[in-house]
Amino acid sequence: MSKRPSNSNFYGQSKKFRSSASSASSVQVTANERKVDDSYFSNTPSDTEAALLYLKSKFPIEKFEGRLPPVLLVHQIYSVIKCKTLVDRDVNSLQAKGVVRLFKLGGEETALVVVYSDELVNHIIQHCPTKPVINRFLKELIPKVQDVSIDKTLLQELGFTQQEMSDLVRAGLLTLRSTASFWFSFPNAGEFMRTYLKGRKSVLRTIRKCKFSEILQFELEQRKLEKSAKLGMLYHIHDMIGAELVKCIETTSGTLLRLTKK
Amino acid sequence: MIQFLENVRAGIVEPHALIRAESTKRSYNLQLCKHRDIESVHTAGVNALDVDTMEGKYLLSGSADGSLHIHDLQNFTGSPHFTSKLICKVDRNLRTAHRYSVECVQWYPFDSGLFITSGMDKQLKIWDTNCMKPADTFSFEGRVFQHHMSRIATRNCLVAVASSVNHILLVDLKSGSCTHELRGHSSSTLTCRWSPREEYLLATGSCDNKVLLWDVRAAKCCLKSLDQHNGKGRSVSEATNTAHDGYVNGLCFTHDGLFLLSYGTDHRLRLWSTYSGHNEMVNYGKIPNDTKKCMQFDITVSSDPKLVYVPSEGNIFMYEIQSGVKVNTLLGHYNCVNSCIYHPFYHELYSAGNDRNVLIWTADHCQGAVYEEHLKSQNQKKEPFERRTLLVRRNVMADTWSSDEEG
Repeated sequence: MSKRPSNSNFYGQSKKFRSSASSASSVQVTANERKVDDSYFSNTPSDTEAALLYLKSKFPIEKFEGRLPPVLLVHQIYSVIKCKTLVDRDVNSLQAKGVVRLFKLGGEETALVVVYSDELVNHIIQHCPTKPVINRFLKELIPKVQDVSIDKTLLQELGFTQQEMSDLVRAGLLTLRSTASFWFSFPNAGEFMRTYLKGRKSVLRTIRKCKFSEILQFELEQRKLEKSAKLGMLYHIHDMIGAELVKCIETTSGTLLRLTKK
Repeated sequence: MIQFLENVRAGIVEPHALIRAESTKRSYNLQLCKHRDIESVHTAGVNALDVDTMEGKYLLSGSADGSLHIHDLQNFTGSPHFTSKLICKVDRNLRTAHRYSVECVQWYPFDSGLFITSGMDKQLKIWDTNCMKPADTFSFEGRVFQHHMSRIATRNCLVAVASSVNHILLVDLKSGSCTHELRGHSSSTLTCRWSPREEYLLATGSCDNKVLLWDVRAAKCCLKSLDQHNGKGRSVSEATNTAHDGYVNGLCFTHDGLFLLSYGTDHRLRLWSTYSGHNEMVNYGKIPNDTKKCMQFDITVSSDPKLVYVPSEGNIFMYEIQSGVKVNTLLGHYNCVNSCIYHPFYHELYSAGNDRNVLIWTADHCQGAVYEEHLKSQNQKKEPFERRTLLVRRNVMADTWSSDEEG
């Protein structure tokens, strides 16, 4: 069972669909027209952005009653878009532009979490006590430092005292990484991680109990999750496929999810 | 393809494009070969393979019990159904053979009169192919995991040896002794590779999670240690930069020498640019890899999206190097696959595993299909003609002019 690319593609015979964007941009008339072209085409979201918007709609905000903004995982995008390198590059460019913010939560593996920047700012304003240090953090640190972690020396350079740093840690915006560095975080991140890990374990347990450790995807969606797993079945399915904990096999009755060994 | 050939003839397309297109097509379409195989004479799991670079005729394999075998790959029988025969072998009971398992074998890059093997008995042996006796033996302090000799070196005859001691040894074949020790790793080195572009550039990987690039002419330490985060994403307290989060199991340069692929026990494959040492951040996904010894993997030659064939447990995965997309999974071995080697002339893959098999993966399917039809038609035609041909033969063999009465 192998999916081989069609032979005609190697000799350049299959005609590639040329979208109107490239033909329009090749016509160089005036600078104004070019600007109009750029702005017109930059509004359409890239594949990764579209995937992020779709996944965001799957996050059940109402179950958390406003305690959490829509939090997504980077490997969920891999389940939607096949080319992982492209997804990584797009996410990094979104992070550099400041549209999205990445956090590293949890000890195991690289569980990178994505939150849209504007929603993150709203969430912080809502949940943190209104201290001047928080405002400074929001205005200075978030736009400047796009990394997942920050060193103590850099914080001191930007003018944060020891007392202010402990205030930030208490508010839930920084977490201790080692003696001289911090991870970025957001309030109620612990609650998210707890629900996420519980939900993931319970879905994996459901599949493991099935015969041959495999189940059709639509059957899994019909099964009810336990009450503690608030994130929803579809969220966890995307997460498992992207993290390669299950293998997707196309069958005549739909997609089959089979647990990979280990 | 006919249109393509016409374009080449007319001069619209350059001839090299045809080579590229055809090799790409063949490297994508690999499947287990149904009609050709390698005579199964191995008495233990096969650890290492090599194909000689000059003619592509001989396949050298080293096993876990210390025996070595050489098979002839070329098919002169005229039928697609062919078993590559064993030409010569070194039995494990020979006094001069390796006492424990053979970990790495390599033909002398310039002709097939010599080959070099190394193994767990802490020895590197240089064999004369015609006598099948070792011409020279080097003993080391640590178990040898891999050795490599540069394919393009004209001014030196150095063999780099990666062993369980912390430094890389360079053995000079002309003088017959160890000339260099490259110190830089803090744990046993698992793999070493010379660059196919620069004859003095060496890449080594070890159990301390690092990949180091060396210029062997320099008196000071290594050129660069490859960093998986490219300098960012690290806290100040983590002073060392590592290439992987686990042991570095395998290294392979692309044939133009511009990129280096490293394979680690953190289940990741990473692509590095050789000249800047930059991690190209290509995401191949998780490739299960739990073996603590050296894994040999290979990259296609002269195909346009280059493919890498990576052994992982019982499977061989095919990935596109630049985009990280998984093209195919080759299933065929019953046990772990230890090494894969790509034949540059036939565009075939040979893989060796612990199940004592060496499998051939080929792209020549239409030939096989035609042969099957030929076999079927032969079976149908055999019945009416059989008796007549036998009679004819008997008549030819019979002797009609000598008589028994004479003499």
